Amino acid sequence: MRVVLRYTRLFGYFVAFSFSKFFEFRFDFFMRILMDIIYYLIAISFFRILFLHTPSLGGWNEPQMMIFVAGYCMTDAINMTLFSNNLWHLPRFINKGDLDYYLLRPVSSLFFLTLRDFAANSLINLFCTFGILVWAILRYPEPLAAAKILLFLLLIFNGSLLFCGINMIMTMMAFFSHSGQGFGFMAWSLMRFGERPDRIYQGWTRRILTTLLPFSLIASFPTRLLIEDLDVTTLLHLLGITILFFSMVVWLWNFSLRHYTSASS
Amino acid sequence: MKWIKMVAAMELKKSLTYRVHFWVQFVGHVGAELLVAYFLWKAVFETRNTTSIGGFSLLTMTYYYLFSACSLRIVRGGEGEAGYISTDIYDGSLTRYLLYPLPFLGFKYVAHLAQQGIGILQLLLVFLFVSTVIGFPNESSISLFTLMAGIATSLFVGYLYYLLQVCIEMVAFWQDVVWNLMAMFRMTTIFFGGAVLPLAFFPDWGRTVAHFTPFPLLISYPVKTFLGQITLFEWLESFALFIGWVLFLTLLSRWIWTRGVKQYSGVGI
Repeated sequence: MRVVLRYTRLFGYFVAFSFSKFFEFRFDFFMRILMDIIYYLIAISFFRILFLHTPSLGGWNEPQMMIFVAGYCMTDAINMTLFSNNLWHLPRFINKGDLDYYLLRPVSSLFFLTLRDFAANSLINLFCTFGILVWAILRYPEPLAAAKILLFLLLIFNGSLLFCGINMIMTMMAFFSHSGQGFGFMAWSLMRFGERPDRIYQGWTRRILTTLLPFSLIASFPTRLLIEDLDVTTLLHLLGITILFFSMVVWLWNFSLRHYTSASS
Repeated sequence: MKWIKMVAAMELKKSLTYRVHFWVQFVGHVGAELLVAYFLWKAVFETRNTTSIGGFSLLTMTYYYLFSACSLRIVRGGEGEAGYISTDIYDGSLTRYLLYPLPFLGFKYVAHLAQQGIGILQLLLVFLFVSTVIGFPNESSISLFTLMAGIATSLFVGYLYYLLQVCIEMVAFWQDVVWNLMAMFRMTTIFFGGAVLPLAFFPDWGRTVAHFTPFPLLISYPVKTFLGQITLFEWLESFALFIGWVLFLTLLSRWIWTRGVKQYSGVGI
């Protein structure tokens, strides 16, 4: 319990420091908010335009798709708030040997390096995405149970953790490739798969996107569990893959640290 | 003029230092774009139970996304050196460029051109691979001529992208952070340029908005040229628009540069 409290307090300091830092660079603060709003508007416009040419996509109609869009915008906002800045800097720390300073601190290095840089501006974007979700739910033609909405929100958070796990695994390749960004950029390119409903994919692509590279589990599966009948198999699949990916992250982190050779890395 | 060759060679060498990283990034990005577009439109065609939507068959649509991903890579020129203008301003390394006996913006454009060369090579490889695997659509107007014309169009349109990028990057003379402006610029380019959806699918208001921006010139124009979906008159009309934007942005970038250099402190921020 004391450990949890200690880490919670530490995270609180990260958040407080981040707010003071972001208010010093006000132009950047507001521009980053605007940047993410443009991203959400493009996501919504894309599907609204597409639905001018088709009545449904992957078995979903437009109101259902808007809930899906709200879901993946939320996973993006959570990621941008909690993890993105940290993972962006990680390869540089590895290549320049700056990782040493984090390894010497008396806290979990994985915790410190993944949560240290809290993006205060993206927190505001998280509220915006919540607004998009409320809008999508209000225009949804059928009533949605509060319990299912709550489950959806939890699973969206789970989706963010899953994306962070995938991104982390790809970024950690910097320990071995010594390239400027590891393969973290791949996670962002491949996230395009997660920005479309899972049922449009078929065959091996679909199998891969629900297991090895589980981008379809990030927002598509939570949306299915919200707007369709609750399927326990889908839920267990989702949670099982998340646990598996996080076990892999921890294992790979420890394995990579054993191969880390400081400044010459 | 010897410096042009040297700068281009240096840029190529820099880009190819991490070869695995370089190719994985390209194949991953283009592969993801193509696969997602293919499955998305396959689902739309199946739902509509038709073989043509808005004049596109599924195969033509696949080529549309192939050319939009690859020509955007050529147009952007990998955003190498030109993308570092703000960094040069922030860390003070702009000073050494001011001392070099060559124009700073010329130096950056040559680096951009070298990156465009790599983009052309990548496009040819992807085109060869995809056309061998999936063949050509029956109604296709794609030919060696349209391929060459598309490459030429992407190359000169790259100058417009470069000018836009330079104008945004030089905001760094006055502001502490500009990467978010570049990110907004990229997203808007991709959307209103027609990389996410062909502009033909936009409602009238969307097409009107796009028409008043330079973005369709950056993506839709070269892609239509690649696909042979543009008449000579339309091509010349777009070219005239391109010239207009280039003249305007050349003047704007010079104005920003003159004012920015006066503002530049030379010690970073």
